[in-house]
Amino acid sequence: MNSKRDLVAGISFFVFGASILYSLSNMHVNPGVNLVYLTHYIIPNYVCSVIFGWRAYDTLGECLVLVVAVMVSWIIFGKSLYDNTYLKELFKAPESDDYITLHGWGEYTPIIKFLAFPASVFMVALGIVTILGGHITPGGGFQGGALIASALILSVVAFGSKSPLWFDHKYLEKLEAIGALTYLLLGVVGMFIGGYYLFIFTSVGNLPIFPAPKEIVTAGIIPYLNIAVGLKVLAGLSTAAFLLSCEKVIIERIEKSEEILNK
Amino acid sequence: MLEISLYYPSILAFIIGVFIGAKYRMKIKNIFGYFILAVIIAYFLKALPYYNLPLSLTFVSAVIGIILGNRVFGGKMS
Repeated sequence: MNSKRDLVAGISFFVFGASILYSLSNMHVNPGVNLVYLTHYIIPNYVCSVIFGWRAYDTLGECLVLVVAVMVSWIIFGKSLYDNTYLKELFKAPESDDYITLHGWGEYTPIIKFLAFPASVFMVALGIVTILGGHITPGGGFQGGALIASALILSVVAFGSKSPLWFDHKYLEKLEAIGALTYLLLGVVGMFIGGYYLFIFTSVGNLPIFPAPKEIVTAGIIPYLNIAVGLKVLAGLSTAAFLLSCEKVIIERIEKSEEILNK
Repeated sequence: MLEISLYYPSILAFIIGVFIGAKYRMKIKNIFGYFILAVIIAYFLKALPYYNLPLSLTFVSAVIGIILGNRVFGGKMS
């Protein structure tokens, strides 16, 4: 029986390996959307100039919608519904613990864990690139922030409570505050320089606000607005994911604690 | 001569990478492997438009920032 299985495994491995080698020899990777942007003249990014140039104030409102959504998630799944301190006393957990670090939580197989950790690192890096190229490529703060938040979600799903990437509550609070304040303050600076709130200025004195090649130096403060939006979205989506993932843990804890108390 | 305008997004990516890399609670091992893989990905990703570079230096510097932030400030499982 074992020899047959070994034979089948060996043949499959050979076929799979040969097909990978064959596909690698003929591999042609498209240079991606960046090439499209260079060969077809659509720079400066039209979508970006609409979002941050013509209706930046509206984008600010959209960011605040996300804050409200996270706040509502917090109200429904957060401290107000589940008494955190009661659980911590019951399980003798330190006060500093987040919900998810109270006890070991489910994790996936070593294969997924082996892949998830480096994948999360590269996803974070890709998210940063997406944020910083938001003014000249498709993407931007929202997409980049969502990519980094999904790296966190991937890490939490694969590793459970031992997730290697972990944003604690205070860190998320800081990110959210820095993102919102940067956006608002840049708007105020624009008002001082150009007379309009969120006016896009490209230089202060002779110093360009965002040093870039001369074709795209007119981006001005848009990359910084992208970074601010990215930080806000990263914080908002991570908090929402954290709250929703904790709901299951908290319900399990309550059920277990009730069983203990009933005994 | 180092032209700041060409490398400015890479510098920002490095700084953001350090901030996020510090939140990794597990030490990143096999740094050389990560670097090689980052360079390969960056080569296929290509540089941002108008940045005449052979590869996406922003991506590579973000990965370097994450690794450095992890090794210096992070890597502690609480």
